[in-house]
Amino acid sequence: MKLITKLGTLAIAAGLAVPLATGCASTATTPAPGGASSGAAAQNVTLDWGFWNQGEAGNKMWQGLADEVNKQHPNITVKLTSPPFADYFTKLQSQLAANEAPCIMSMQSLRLPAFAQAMEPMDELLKTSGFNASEWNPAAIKALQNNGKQYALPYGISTVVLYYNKDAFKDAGVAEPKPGWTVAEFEAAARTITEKTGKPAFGQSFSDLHMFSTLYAYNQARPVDESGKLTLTEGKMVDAFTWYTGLATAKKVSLVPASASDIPWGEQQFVAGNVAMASDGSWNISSNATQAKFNVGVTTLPGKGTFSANSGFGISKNCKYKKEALQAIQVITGAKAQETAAAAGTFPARTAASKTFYDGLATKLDSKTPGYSAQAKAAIEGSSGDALPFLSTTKWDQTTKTIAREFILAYTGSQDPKKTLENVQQTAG
Amino acid sequence: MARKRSEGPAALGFLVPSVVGLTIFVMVPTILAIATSLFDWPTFGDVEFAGLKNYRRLFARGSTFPAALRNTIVFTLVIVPLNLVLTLGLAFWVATSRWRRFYRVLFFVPVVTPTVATSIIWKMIYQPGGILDDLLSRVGFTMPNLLGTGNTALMAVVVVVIWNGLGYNTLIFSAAIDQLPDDVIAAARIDGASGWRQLWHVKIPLLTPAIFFATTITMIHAFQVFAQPYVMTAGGPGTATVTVVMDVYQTAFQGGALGAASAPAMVLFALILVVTAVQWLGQRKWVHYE
Amino acid sequence: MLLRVRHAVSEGLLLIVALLFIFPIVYTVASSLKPAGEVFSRPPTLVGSELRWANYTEVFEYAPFHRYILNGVIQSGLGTVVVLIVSALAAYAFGILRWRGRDQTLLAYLATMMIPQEVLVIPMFLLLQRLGWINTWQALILPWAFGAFGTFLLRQFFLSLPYELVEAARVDGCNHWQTFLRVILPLAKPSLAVLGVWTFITYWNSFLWPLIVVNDIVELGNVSIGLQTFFGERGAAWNLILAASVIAIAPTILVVILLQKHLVKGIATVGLAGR
Repeated sequence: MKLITKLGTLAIAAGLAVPLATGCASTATTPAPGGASSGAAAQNVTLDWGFWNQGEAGNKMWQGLADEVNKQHPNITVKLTSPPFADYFTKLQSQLAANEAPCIMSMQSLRLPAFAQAMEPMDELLKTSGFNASEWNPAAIKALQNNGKQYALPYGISTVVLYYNKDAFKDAGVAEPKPGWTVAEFEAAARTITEKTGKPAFGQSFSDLHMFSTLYAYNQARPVDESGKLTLTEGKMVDAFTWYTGLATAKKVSLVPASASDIPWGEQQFVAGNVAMASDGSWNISSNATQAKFNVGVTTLPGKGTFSANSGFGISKNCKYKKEALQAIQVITGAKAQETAAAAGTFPARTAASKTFYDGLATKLDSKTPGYSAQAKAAIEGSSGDALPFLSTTKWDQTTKTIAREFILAYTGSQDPKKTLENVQQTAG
Repeated sequence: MARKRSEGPAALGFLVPSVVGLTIFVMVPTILAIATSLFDWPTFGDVEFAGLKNYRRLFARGSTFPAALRNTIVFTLVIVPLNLVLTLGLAFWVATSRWRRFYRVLFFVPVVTPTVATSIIWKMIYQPGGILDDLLSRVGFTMPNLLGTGNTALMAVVVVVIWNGLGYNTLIFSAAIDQLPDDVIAAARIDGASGWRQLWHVKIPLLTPAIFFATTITMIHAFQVFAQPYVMTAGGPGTATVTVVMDVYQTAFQGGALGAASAPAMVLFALILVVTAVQWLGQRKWVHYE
Repeated sequence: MLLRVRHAVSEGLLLIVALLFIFPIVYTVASSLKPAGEVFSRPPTLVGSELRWANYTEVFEYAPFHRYILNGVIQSGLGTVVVLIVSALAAYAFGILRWRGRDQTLLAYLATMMIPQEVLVIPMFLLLQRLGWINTWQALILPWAFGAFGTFLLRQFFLSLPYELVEAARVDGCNHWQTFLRVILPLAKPSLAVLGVWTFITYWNSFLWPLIVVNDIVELGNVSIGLQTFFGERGAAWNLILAASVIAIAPTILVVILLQKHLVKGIATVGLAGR
């Protein structure tokens, strides 16, 4: 290799070996007059906001909220980028590796343990920002905490509930479930419907939230303990998992995913009309009923309790304008914004906006399925009382893939459930 | 073939754009990637020198790497010969047809279709209750859950990978066949060679440069199969369809551990290099150049 | 007479094989015309309850898909041009010129293809950050334009050209540059077409790198990225995804058809065949 190119290579390699400290992708267009503590005219600031793609209509709505920030704080401009949801976190990883994470970082409560390190705890900032905890659903706030610190402000809150096909229940002559129904009632309904229709009544799933919520409702088994450690081999979990897999292998009332890549199997099969019951999030309470060609009913999971999860907006650690970022976030999750989101079908994190949500649901769906919005309200309120925020581990993304790969062996009966849990625990624990 | 003066300096001139680009955009990231494998490099947090720890962890209990390596090798051993035989055969067959241009494009369509779409469609075809199941049950045959059973998952994915890539080698061989020198073939026919003999003793030897190229490239790609198993089976059931590149991707982007992800990539790299080098050295024995 | 029957049978069989082969694509197109909930219906159907052509217009409402196609065409086109130029020059050095260490260097070149892209993307990202090229056109086109694949392919072609042509040109007083331009390149059209098609498709379908380096999805995103936007947080719009995939096939098929004529027998007897 020529000398010039050799030197060039060494220079580049040496330069890259030094950790980069370029800060996050935000810029100031006018330097602040005087010092930072003057409290005088605020500097003009452009903040990057990363939020997963919400579809064209959804993106427009959130962009509208971003523009609203500028109306309330003329010195702050928010620039929204919308990577595809499936890859948002992949991209985030590489952005973090290069210290290029967006100032306003959207985060799921499910993934918070993995990313909390990269986010700035908000507690101090919130104290001087006019934050009033009583305006918010407590579960929504708690879900975005990690080790006691608040890392993001929520825009919604969801629990896992049980959706069922009203028409199928009617045809099979089974009484519709009520919130708080038991596992025995669930199994009886499943058995009758399976016999009458010849098709399995329940759809199993690999979706972490959905599946583990169903197990939790069975006997309060939890996959991850308070300290963030994976606890799959613990007694209650083994019992619950054996029951869950037994629905397909022993009792034959449940439809099993076709492969380990069919993560949201049960939920999809339900909407397609192939199974009569499935666990799914309350975030789909509007879309499931809209998309399905049959009458959808919704109630709590069989048993007691469920997991809750949500998403919110936080501040990346390398953001240069943390105070401004919080101001922006407060507008995006402000009362007006929450009303907009609620009307669009997202169950809001601010308690005041929930009426708008149910009203919107009623307008949209009560004509198709009478009483749907009332049923939705009962299901959501019934499940929220016993809902626990879903805790995950720091390597949760990878763990969910291991879970799908191993669990399918248990679902199809090729491997003992206990051994399956042990395998996953060993690989991912 | 002695040259009066070495054509080295001229070669350098022609190679400048390639070498400059290669150095900046290939060598630098490559060296960095190799170096990364010796470090504990989490996405955020401190980078620490780890020596061979990442490599040792590959073979620790609970690691998916041994299964991934085994699957990757199986993939390659099955895909490469099958692909070559099928594409060569298809290319010769298409060459006899009046509509060969149409067929070339038709067989090429899966190559240009986004992998996401083809993997989803094949998943639907393979699904219990799907089209394949439906057809086979009409003939009285119950199909097992192909993607959900350990024994069949790998082969089911192999079918899709081969189907996806068939068109490309077919195109290359078709082009090569179309350009087989008429005079040599005519001479062979005069000598009495026709049909299979002509194929085996005349045409195929003339095609060996193309075959060599296709073998090398197909092999390098087979070692790096990732998208189809990822979308169709996510590596399951169990570890039946995990591949090395899948392992790399998941460790890097879902486990947030770049150093740990580079180690299996380096092992794969070494493997491919050795196999290709062996092929390369054996070139002289069976490839007929000008 | 027997020969004609045999030929007809052969043609017929080939057609059947081709139709079976293309069935999954037909299934894709058919499913792309189904209403939203029916893509996964059991028992499976080829045609849904209606032919929902609206799926195709909805693709463009759900996402600015025309933009993704335009971006893809530009990136793939420019990328192909760069690759063709760089690879042809390098292939001349490796295939026509003779110098010590030529084959070993080529092997080293080839070695660079053996490292999975997945492990190179982060270092590449860091490098481009240094260059200030994040979220730019050059970031999408240049980093992968210097791979060894093109050089290798063209080198194989060049090697099977009759060396007498080169010697004749040199005797005529041509220097290497002129030999390259006037003798080799015209003869290499078929191989250039093959490489062009491959490169275009690779850029067109590339996903991981654009995902990482692009922030303005609408400005710079290609079709693969665009397709992923249909996978939302709350599930995927499968019928739209399939429709978008069908749309995505179109430009690449066009490229193949256009370059087809360069892939047939030329006047000179050159190609991937030995002599």
